[in-house]
Amino acid sequence: MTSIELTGVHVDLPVFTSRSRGLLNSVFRYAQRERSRVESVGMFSYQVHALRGIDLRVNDGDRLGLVGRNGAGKTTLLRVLSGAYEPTQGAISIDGAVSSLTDLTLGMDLDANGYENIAMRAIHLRKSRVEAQALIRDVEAFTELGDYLHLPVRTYSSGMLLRLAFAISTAVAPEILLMDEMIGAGDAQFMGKAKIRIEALMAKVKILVLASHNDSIIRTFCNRAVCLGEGRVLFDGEVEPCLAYYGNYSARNAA
Amino acid sequence: MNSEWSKLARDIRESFRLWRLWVHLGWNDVAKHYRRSFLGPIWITLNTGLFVVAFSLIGAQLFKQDVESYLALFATGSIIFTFFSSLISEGCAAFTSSESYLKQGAVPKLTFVFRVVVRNLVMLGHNAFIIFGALAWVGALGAVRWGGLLFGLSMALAAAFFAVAILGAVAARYRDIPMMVTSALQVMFFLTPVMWRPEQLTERAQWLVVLNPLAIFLDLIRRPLLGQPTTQQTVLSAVAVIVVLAAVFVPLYLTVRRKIVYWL
Repeated sequence: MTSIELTGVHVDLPVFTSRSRGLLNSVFRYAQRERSRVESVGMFSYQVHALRGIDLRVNDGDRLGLVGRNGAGKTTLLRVLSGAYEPTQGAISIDGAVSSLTDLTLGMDLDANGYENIAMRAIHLRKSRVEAQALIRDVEAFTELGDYLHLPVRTYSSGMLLRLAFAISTAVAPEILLMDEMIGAGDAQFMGKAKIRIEALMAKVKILVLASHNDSIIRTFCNRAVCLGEGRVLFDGEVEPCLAYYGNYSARNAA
Repeated sequence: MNSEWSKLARDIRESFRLWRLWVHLGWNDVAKHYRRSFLGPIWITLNTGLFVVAFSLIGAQLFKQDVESYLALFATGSIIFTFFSSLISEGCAAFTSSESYLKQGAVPKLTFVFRVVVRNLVMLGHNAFIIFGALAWVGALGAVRWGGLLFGLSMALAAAFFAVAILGAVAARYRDIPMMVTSALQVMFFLTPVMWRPEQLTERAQWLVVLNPLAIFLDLIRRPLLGQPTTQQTVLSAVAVIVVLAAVFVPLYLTVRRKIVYWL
């Protein structure tokens, strides 16, 4: 059964600077302890409490939307869910193969040609040679790049590069899909195709977690939403109440 | 504590299972560099070859040796030393240069340690042509002790794995480390018997070769190449170095392994 469970997850990110803030500042940290999310540690570093005690259970079938202002902890949470960040404190158990669509051009070598880049990603996805062949055919058909796939990726226009990266990234359906903002690619004609492909992928996966600033995207694709603020879960439930809560929250905090 | 042990064990296991990824990445790192040149990676061999031959001609006179035996000494010494020094300096960037992979998902960390080791093995493979070319030239190819060579190389790789893992983690946190390592390696080139023979040192300076880990592993690989038997003292020293590195690696990774991604 595909699921993700987070219990009391904290992520404290250290931020190192090369310049000392001076002794006075280091002393001042005692005065403001616990209140701020950004805490001074020693002379040269800060600690950002990016996530502060997240309890979250995501089940099979959940289409979870993440909303929250910039810096609320959405990207950090996605990184925890992907397994990249292991929590500083608390526990996480992920049951299922996770894939995140955050960096589409991951591992792409601009001097290698299109085929080499597809093969590269196939290896990264731990595909066998036979599966890699299927991946290549799929990307060939979808991108319509034809003979360009024999040329170094460096020579592609940015639209072509995005098409290739998009096609490779969306070719394999994981059990758990993480997305930081909705992705699309290409010119008007290609955008339609890309939309169909990404929506098919999103429908195929068992769990989807999608962070977005766009309410209508959350409404379209999600059946549950979580509002993050200052590294905490402020609201967890149905989409509409959550968006309403978030709207209020933003208005309150903007003032 | 117990769970950190099992997580480290899992990291190592999973990293091994991902061998196709790190072999490919390591290989591609070298290929990428020479992608648009005609001779491609042959440049690695040419560059080193030119340097080795040129310096051997001068060095033989400086150190008053006959050219043939000096060529064998310097070709083996400089190529093996280059292997060590680039492993160490690139080891510092093991994690920082793989940031995008590490931040995207749960990749076992040691994958990127193996990547650095593979990349340098590929480079060594290219340069090995010069070692064997030089040995053939001076008619010493027949004397090579292949068993001893394989043993020395495996010991060096074991040490390299730990050294790269340690440096990669520490340098991800303290960004001054790569610079420190680079300048230390420049000094080490002179303190290691690359262009001179250990016998040329006075009795009082012998500690330079006895305590210098680079000299120990150089000796372990160079002796069989030059047809000399491996000494027991060197083997014991090499084992000691590996044990010390492992003794640093384990507690270091038990405490900081999961923090490495935070530091990138």
